[in-house]
Amino acid sequence: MIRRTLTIAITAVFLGMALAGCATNNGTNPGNTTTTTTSPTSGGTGVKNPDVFTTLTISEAESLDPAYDYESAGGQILQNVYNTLYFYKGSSATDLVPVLASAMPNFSADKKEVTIPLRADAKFHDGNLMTADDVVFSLNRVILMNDPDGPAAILNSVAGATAYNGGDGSAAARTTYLAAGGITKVDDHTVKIKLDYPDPALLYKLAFTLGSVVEKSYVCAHKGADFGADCLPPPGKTRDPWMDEHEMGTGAFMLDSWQKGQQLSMKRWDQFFGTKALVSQVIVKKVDDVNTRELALFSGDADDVYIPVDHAGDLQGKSGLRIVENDSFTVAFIGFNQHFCGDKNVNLTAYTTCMATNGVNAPKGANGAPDTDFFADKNMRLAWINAFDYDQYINDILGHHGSLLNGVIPKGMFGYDSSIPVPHRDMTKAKDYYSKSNHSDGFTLTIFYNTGNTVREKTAELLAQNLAELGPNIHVDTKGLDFSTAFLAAQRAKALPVFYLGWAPDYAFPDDYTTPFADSQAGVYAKRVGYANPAMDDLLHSLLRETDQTKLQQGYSQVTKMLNDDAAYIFLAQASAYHVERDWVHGFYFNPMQNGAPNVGDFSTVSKQ
Amino acid sequence: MALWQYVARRLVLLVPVLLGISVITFGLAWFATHGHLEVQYLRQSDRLHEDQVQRIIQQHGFDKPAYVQYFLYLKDVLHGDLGLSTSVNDPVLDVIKSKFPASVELALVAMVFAVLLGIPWGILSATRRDKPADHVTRFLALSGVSVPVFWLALILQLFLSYYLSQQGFSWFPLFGRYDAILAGSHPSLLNGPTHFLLVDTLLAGDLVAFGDVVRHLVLPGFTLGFVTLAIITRMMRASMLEVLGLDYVRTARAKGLEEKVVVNRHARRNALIPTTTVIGLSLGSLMGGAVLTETIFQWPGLGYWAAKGILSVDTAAIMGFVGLTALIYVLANLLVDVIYAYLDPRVRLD
Repeated sequence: MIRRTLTIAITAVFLGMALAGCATNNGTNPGNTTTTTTSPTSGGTGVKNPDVFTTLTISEAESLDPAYDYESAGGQILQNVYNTLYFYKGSSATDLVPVLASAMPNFSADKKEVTIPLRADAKFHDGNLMTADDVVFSLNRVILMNDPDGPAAILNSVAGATAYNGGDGSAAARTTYLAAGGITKVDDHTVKIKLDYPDPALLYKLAFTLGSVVEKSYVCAHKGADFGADCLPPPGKTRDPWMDEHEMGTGAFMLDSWQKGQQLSMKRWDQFFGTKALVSQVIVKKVDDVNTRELALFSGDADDVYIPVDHAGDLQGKSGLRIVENDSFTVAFIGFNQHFCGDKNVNLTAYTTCMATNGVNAPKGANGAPDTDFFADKNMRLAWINAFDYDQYINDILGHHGSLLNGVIPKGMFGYDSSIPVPHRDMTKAKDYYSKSNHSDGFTLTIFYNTGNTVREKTAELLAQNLAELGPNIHVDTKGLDFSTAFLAAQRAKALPVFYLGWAPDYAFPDDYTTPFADSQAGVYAKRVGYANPAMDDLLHSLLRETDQTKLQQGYSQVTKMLNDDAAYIFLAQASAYHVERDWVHGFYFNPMQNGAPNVGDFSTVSKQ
Repeated sequence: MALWQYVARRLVLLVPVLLGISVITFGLAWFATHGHLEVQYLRQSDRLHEDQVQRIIQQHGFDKPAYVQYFLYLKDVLHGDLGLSTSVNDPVLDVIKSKFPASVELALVAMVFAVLLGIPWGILSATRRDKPADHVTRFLALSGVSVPVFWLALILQLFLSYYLSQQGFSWFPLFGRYDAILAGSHPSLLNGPTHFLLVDTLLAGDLVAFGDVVRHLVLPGFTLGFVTLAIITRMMRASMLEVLGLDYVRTARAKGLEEKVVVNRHARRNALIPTTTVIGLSLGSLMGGAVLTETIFQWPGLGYWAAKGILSVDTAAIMGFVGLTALIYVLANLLVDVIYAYLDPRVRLD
C-alpha cells in the first residue's frame, strides 16, 4: 500500500514538472524563457562567498610550465602565479613597468646588451628569495626546451638562440648556445642579456608568459632522471611533466589544487612583494555548456563567466550583472591563396601530387579550366576586397561586437596609424577591378570553412553573396569540412582557394603581426598565401632592428599601407572582448595583452562587495 | 562445467576481443585522417610553419607506416603505457584512473534510480493492467525513451537546481561532483584513496562531504538513469504479464494465496530474468554514453572525454576508451549470465 502510494506520488511530481516545463518552454533553450520577475539577487543572499572569486571558462590550461605553455587558458593562470621582469602598466598595451626588475634596463650604445637590475625582496611561494640565478635559469630553460609547438622562437634575438632554434638540438648545439652567453648573471641582483641584433620589442617579449621567473632549486628538486646537473632540458626533451602541473613562482597567487577537467584553485600569497590580492581564493572552473554557465552567473555561484557574443541576448532583462566591452587584439582576416597547391615553379612534385587529390577544388575560369594562380592576379584580389560588405559583417555577423581594421596592426597597439581609413564596400571600384582581371567573364570556386564555426560559415555565405553581384557567370558556393579529417589537411596542402586566418598577440609590438602576415620568408601566413614583396621584406627586416621610436612608428605605418596596397588579405575585424561579471565585483580592468580574456586576467585587483 | 571454468573461459576470450577492437579502431582513425594521425597535435596548427609541423611528425613517429605505428602502440600497452591523450594532455592511463570512478559512480546512481523505480513501476503496471496506474506508467516509460537527454538535463537543472535555489532551497547544485569551496577544507573530496567520492568521504568519516557528494549526484544520476528506467519498466511489465499468465501462478491463486504473495514471492523472481539482461547491457552503455549528461552537469566522466577525443582524432584516447568499454561490456555480461544461473536453476553454464 505504502509502496503503491509512494510510486504514484513520485509519478505525479514528475508529471507536474514535465507539464510545467512544457507550459513555459517556448521550445528554445530554458535560459531564454526565464523572463519572470525573479531577479538573481532576490534570493536574499547578497554577495555569495565574498572572499572567493569564481570564474567559469571554456578552456582548460594545457600546461603550467612557462617554458612550454603557449595558449590563453594556461597563460591566465601563469600571469597570476608567476611574475615577469617587466609587465604592462594597468590597461596600457604600450607602457611597461618593472615588476621583478627594480628599474627600467640600461642599454649599451649598440643596443645589443641589456642590463637589468632585479628587486631583492621577491619571494617564491616556498619563501626563498629570487636571485639572478633564477632569472638566468628560467630564460635559458625556455630557449633550450624549444618545443616546436611552444613559444621559444619569440626569444630568437637572444645571442645564440636563433642558431639553436634552427639547429639540430644536439648536445653540441646546446653547449654552443650556453657558451654564447646570451643570458648571464652579473651579480645576485643583476642580469645581462646579449642580443644577436638590437630588438625594440625585447621588453614586451619578456612580458609574455615565457618570461616568467621560476625557482631554479625547485625545478632541480623535481627534475626528471634524464635531466643533467644544470637542471636544464637535455637534447630532445621538450616537456617537464612536473612543471606542467606545479608551479614555483613569485606571483600574487599560489596554486592550491588542480582537478583536471573540473577546477583549478589558487590561494593568495601573503608574502607577495607587491599589492596583496584582495580575495583569498580564486577558483577557475571549466564549464562547457553555456546554459550552465549562465545559470551559475544568474544564481551568483559564479562571479565572472564567459558568454559568447551570440548569447548576449540571454542577458537582457537580467539584473545584477555588469557587461564591459573593449577592443581586443584578436584579429580575423581572409587570405587569398595566390598559388593553389603551392607554387609549381618552386616544387613541381608537391604541386602535382596536391592537384591529383585536390585539383577539383581549384578556382576555375568561365570555361571550366582550373586556374591555380587565380589570386596571383591583383585585380581579382582588389575586386574581392572592394566587393565585401564590411558593415554587414560587423553588424549582422558579429552583432556589433567587433570593429573594422584599417590594416594589419590593430587599434591600441604601438604602430597603429589612425589616419589610414577603414575599408567599406565599393561596388563601383570592385566591378572596375573585376573588369580588368584575368577572369572578367566569370569564374567558379568554393569557399570552405571548418564545420561548427558558424561565424566563418556566415562570412563565407556573405562573401559569396557579395561576389555574385560582380557580374554574370560567377558561381561561388560555400562548403563545410570537418577540421580534423579534412579541413586541416587541405589547409596544409594549400588546397583551399581562400584561408581564414586569425591571430592573437604574444607581445605588444607590431612585428608580432607584421611578420606572420607580410614576411615572405618568416611569415607563416605570408608563406601560406604565397605573398612575397621584396621591398616589404627589406622594410620589415630593417624595422626588426630599429630602436628609434619615431622611425618605428613611421616604418610600421608604411608597412600597413604597403600591405593594403598589395591587397593580399581581406581585413575582417578586430574582435571585442565581451566581459560579463556580477555587479558585486570591483576592480576588473581590461588589458588587451592579458591572457584569459574576456574573463578576468589579473585576479589580484578584484574584490566582491 | 564448474562455475570457475566457465568464468575463466569467458575471461580468456577477452584477449582476442580486445585485440580485434583495437585493430578496427586504429584502422578507422587511420582512414578517417587519410593516414595523417598527426592532426591531433595540430589543433593550434594555424601558427605553425610547415617545418615545425614536420618536427612534430618525426618526434612522434607519424611518418612511419600504419602497421608500425600500431605495433609500437601495442608494445607500449603491453608495458602498461596506454599513450598520451592529446586532447587533454595527460597519459591515457591517468585520465582513465581519474575519470573512471566518476563515471562508475554516476552510472551506479543512475542504475539505482532505474532499478528502484523501474521494477516496482513495471510490476505495478502489470498488476493494474489497463487501469489508470498502468496508463500513467506506460506514458512515463514512453517519455523516457523519447525525451532527449539534454532537454531533461536542462529542465532538471533549471527547475530543481536554479529555481529552487532562488526560492531558498539549495538542495541540488547546478553542476560538478562536489562544491569547490567546500573541498578546500574537506580533503577527502580531493585526495581520497579511491577517487570514488562516496567511498572516500565515508572512509574519512566526513559526513558533510558525503552529503555534498550525494547532493551533486542526484540530478545527473536521475537524468542518466531515466532512459534505463523506462526500458526496465517496460521490460518488467512485459515479462511480468507473461509470468502472471502461466499455470503455476493460476495454481497459486487457486490455492487461496493473497495476490501480494503470488506476485512478490512466486512471479517476480521469474519475471526478473529478462530484466537482468537489460540491466547488464545498460550498465555498459551508461558508462560510456553519458556525454550529454556530462556536458550539461560538467561531470568529469569518460563519455565527454571520449567524444572530444573522437572529434580531435585523439587516437590513444579513443583506443583506450573503446578497449575499456569492451572490457566492461564483457564483464557485465559475464556477471549477468552468472546471475541468470542463480535466478533460474534450469539454466546451465556451459
